[in-house]
Amino acid sequence: MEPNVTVPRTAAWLLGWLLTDANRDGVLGDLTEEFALRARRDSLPNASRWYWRQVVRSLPRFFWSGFRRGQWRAPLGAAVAAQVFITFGESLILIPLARTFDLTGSFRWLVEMPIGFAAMTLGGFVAAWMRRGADVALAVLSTIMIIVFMIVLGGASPRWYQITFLVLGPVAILTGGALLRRKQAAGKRPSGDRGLPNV
Amino acid sequence: MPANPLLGSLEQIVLIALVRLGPNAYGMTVRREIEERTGRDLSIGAVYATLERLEAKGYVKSVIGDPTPERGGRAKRLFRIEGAGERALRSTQKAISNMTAGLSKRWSPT
Repeated sequence: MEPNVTVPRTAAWLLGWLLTDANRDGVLGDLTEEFALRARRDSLPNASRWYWRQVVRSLPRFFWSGFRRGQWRAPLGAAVAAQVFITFGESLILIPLARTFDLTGSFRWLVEMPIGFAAMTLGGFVAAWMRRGADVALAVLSTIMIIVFMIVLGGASPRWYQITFLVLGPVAILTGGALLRRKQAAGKRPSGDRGLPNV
Repeated sequence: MPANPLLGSLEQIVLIALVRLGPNAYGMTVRREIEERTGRDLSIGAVYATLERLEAKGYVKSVIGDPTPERGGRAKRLFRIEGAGERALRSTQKAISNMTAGLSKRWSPT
């Protein structure tokens, strides 16, 4: 009888996200097959550890292989477009607000923060909708931009504000991407489950 | 005069695994065959990177197999060695053999 074990979902997602279409089924299927074999012969925790080790050791190779093939060009392009969308969306709300209310001192940052996070979440959603993997590219891009702003325009905003965005900004973007995937998965469910397999 | 460029050590090992496995050569079986015979715990990423490099050189060809339930419904990517791969493997093995010939007094591979 086949044991009802599931591969570590996060590890499989991480690897699946990096793989090309040509490799995805082959690699994830190979790992699933060996994982089931190890879970049967050894134990589920050891099989899970083996799976994670395989993913962590394979990530740099698949990342580099994708980079050399130009696999990252399209997600990066979509990420840049989503970043423009975020900046434009934020300005569309903040400019009229600043004209209407007197946004000074800490109040300004407390108003800007939720708007910024909402724009970033929406940006992650839009990026993931435009291109698979673009939400992660946007999170990386956003982190780099925040660090550059912190260095170049260090005194333009309070340090707590900058650090909050540095930590939670990429999280907001990835949450947007995850929301889109959840929405897409919910839309697909009636016509057949395409989630990770039970083996 | 060399007829074929020499293969790297992992390329040789992967090609030999393909020869041994025949029609059942795919990522998982190649990885396990190498682990069982050499003791090297390769990552699946290393195996695929080598196979893809060999495919780009025309030494290996891959085809997509049928999805199977034990793989969670995912298809296998089956690999087979091509004529050029066999020639490159023979040429490399011959080069190593020529290089080690007559060294038994000073150096032995075992």
